[in-house]
Amino acid sequence: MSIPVETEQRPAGHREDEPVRLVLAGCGAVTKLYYAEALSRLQSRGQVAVAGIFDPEAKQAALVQARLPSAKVAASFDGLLAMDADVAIIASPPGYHADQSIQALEAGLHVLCEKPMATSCSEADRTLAAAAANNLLLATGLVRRQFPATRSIKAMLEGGMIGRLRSVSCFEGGSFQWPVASMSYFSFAESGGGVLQDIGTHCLDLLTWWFGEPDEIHYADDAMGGVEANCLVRLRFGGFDAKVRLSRDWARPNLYRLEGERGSISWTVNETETVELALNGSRTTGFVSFTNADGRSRDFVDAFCDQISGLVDAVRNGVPLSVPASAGRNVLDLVEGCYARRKLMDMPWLGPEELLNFAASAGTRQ
Amino acid sequence: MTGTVAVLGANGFIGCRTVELLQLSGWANVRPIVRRPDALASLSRFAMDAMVANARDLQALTAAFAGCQYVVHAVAGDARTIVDAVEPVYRAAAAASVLRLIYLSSASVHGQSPPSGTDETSALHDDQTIAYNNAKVHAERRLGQLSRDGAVQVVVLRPGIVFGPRSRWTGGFADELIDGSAYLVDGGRGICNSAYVDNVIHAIKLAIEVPEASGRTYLIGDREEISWADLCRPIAEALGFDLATISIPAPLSFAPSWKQRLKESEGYRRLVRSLPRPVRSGLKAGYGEWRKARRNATGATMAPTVMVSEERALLHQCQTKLPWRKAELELGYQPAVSFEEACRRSVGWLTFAGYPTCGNGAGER
Repeated sequence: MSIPVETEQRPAGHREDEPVRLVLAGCGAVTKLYYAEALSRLQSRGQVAVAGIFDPEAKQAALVQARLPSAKVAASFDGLLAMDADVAIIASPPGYHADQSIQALEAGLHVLCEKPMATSCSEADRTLAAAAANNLLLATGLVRRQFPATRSIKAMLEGGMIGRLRSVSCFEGGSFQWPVASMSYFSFAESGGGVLQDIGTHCLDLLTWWFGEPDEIHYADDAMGGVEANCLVRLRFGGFDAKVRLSRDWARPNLYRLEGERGSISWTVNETETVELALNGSRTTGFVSFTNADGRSRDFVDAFCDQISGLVDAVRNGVPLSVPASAGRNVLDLVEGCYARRKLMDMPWLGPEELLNFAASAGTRQ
Repeated sequence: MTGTVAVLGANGFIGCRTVELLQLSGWANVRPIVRRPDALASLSRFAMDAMVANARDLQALTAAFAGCQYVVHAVAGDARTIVDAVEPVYRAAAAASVLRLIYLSSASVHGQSPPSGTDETSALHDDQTIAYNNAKVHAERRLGQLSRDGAVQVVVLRPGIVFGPRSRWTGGFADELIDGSAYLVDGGRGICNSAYVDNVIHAIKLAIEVPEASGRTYLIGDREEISWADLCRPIAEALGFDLATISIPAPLSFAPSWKQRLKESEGYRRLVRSLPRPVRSGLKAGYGEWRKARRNATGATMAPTVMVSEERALLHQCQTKLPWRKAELELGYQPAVSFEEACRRSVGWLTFAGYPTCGNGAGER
């Protein structure tokens, strides 16, 4: 299958002293929790000017506008694209990501699309093709790549600090508390999947960013007619296995642990600056904090700022995108690969009658 | 069984398993009802007709119950929620022409350590030291008053210590073992009036089906008489802990520490709930780091942070096995799952959930 080549670099076309004008689609949870604050910070630094926002629910848009008072509320998505802007941030529900990104690109806007960039690889390919056809930038919201902690892990692995890897285990999740607006968030049509498509996108992106593409994929989840709340992914990377356990219903310590021949690295999920490093023979285990080259501390919202700034820099100065949309497409491919190999997780608390009935009904559906 | 069963509080431990079991066994059409859309995350693994309604919102509840013949009221929450939800739920059920309401009360209405001879006819008291018990007593009384109009049939179930996958007595106890806060008063020799969750659901099904159950109240439990140590041992063994190390003497008083009062206060819980998950994770990780650094600096061992609650201390010293004879005689109730099998399934769930059990291989803790 041929994948359209995206535009990662574009000649500078914007004066550096002018804020980049942007518009934002989607005023749901991710915008209220992160994008609104990040845009507010970037506006105060003079990097961006938020020209407009849109949400089909006027009440949600009004709540966000209260935090970004200079933004006008568009009555429709078309109205949003008609505003004078260079960049569109697409933070709508995942089911809209591809179509809205394509519309924005065709309207002449560079796009930062929140993850997942689409709900299928074919949609992602259409989006990449639209970016290439219009010679515009397309970035994807894989915010964890902006953390000094995850960048440092990559550098430590590349520098061979803990030697050849032996195993990787990741647990992520807990009781689901993302403030979703409606039940449709849990439909396959709207979101393209369950916990794997949701937080799994972040997790699998980090693993492939650190280790490359896996050689083998094994996948099981607990979906029984709906979308999965729990899943177990086992990936084979060269000489070691990675086990990923994701959950929306029960918490265990949210921890990634990388065991190498010469030591180990542990990272607490969403810890932006700190990792735990243990080196064999040194009798030392310590928490190591990292900052970016500017020496400034980074919180979670700063990571969103950096994500937007990356696209702004690319628009202004023609520098390459730090997280191009091809990364979003790659992780989508891996998610689809998992679903294609799907098996039912072992759920030992289910009685024999339940399992038999489910097997019979699954057979009927097929 | 024909008809649709609404499960109110479907995201809670008992509600969630009720939906799962009824759906998978094909026993009835099930309609999960939850307070907020995000509470459907776990139940969305089934394709079902779910609804969102606050248990205090009469109008929303009436809409959610439409077309349902039965309602299982499994709403958990603080004492105020327990009491306040009763009237809107009953009135909404009446407005939606629901035939029967199954109210999940608790054997705690008799206290955590009831006297010998306690049964469904024993007098209830609302001056107990534990607010939950009083709230359940008030809820039962209010439901009794409301149901006098005969608009909806009511059956009240009083299960004992309901355990199983996702319960505080299974997953919660595993967490306590791992973080060093687990304890068993007096070695856990007291009687545990256990009720495996599937047995409680079996009783719910009978309460729906048996015509004579209307207007009656039933204690529900497992067949076996077990101790608290019996309940906790399979979990401890699966995780590689020795129960003997967590035995503590019965406390002489229950004056809670400032830390305990803070953790149990509604204001603190509300504050924690209001924080975005990354902030909470960060704070938790930071606290963990601080504790670890403190341990390293002082050279102290993993000293458990044991905060003994009055509720647990009373439970662990219980000397009475509550009877379920009335349910047996009138409903035909017989526990469907043995205690041994219930423990096997519960430990199986721990493995599923990612706990470092023997089944999850060594070195993963």
